[in-house]
Amino acid sequence: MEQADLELIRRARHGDPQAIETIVRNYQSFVYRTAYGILQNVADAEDATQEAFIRAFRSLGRLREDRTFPTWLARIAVRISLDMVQAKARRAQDPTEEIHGSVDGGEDAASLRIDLERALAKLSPEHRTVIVLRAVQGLEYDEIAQVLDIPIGTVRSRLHHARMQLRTYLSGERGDS
Amino acid sequence: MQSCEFMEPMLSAYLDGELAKDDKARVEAHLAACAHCRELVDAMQNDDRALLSWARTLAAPADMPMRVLNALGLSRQEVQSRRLAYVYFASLALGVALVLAAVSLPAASAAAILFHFALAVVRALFALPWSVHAEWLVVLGALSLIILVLSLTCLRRALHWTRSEVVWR
Repeated sequence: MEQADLELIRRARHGDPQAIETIVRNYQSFVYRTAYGILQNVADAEDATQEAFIRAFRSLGRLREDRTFPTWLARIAVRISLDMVQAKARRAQDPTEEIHGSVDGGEDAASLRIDLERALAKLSPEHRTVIVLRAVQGLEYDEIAQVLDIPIGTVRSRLHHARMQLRTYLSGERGDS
Repeated sequence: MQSCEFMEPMLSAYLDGELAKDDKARVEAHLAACAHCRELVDAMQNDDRALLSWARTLAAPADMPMRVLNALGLSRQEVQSRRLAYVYFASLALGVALVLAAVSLPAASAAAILFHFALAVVRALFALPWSVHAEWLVVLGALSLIILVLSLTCLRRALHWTRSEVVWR
């Protein structure tokens, strides 16, 4: 993190609205993509993003090391998103129902997006989370371990299984060999 | 050559550059000889690329900063109204404190003198209509009306100014 980012966090801790606004702008894509990757639903991802920032700023005083802010924020976003997935599961709603559109086997961007979302939706929330944190957010294994509060060996094996499953589902969607 | 079942669990970490030196060398030796695992690594790499380009199409709503600020009670309007409320309550508290001080402190006699003076002024004002001619009463009434209009105009401008001012800190 750069010095300017650390200064923003320090100001945000004192309730400076301008600093908070800048931080949200800087990190909203990061949080939203994480949330959407896990939740697979626009409205839920927006709610999770908003909630993650609110919780982060309300508990910013408890963040010991400002340099860990991105990982800490990702952890909050992941927790909120997984809680929402569990809540939805309790209401017996299938996340795949949220994904609309037809696939004609074409390779355009829209059908690729639908393929990916369908394949992701078939993964378990834990596998979705780990693959989003690695492939989308580019987090290192030790950072993923911190975000998910699991050993690094578990990150490695979970990521392997997630990728293999995604491969299987994508092959099914696209009709690959 | 080691079996694919043994090597496969390492391919993901190999792709991410997370393998130790000797494991990396073993995977590379295996990949040089195994077309199946090479294809698998390529496919996983393509999936990662596809996921990344898919994620780049996802954008949080533009008003997210405002939503967060509103939820935290830190929007401009809220900050402004809170500050006006602080000023109001501080003025009220100061007024109450001054009245209490005037009543309870030894200097209360000074307050009593001021009170009697104010009372005398009010009595004089009430006696005014009987001591001057009707023309002067009209002049006094007109002056009062002008002062009232001026005061109301100033108050309106002051309120307008506080509403339009941008308060951030």
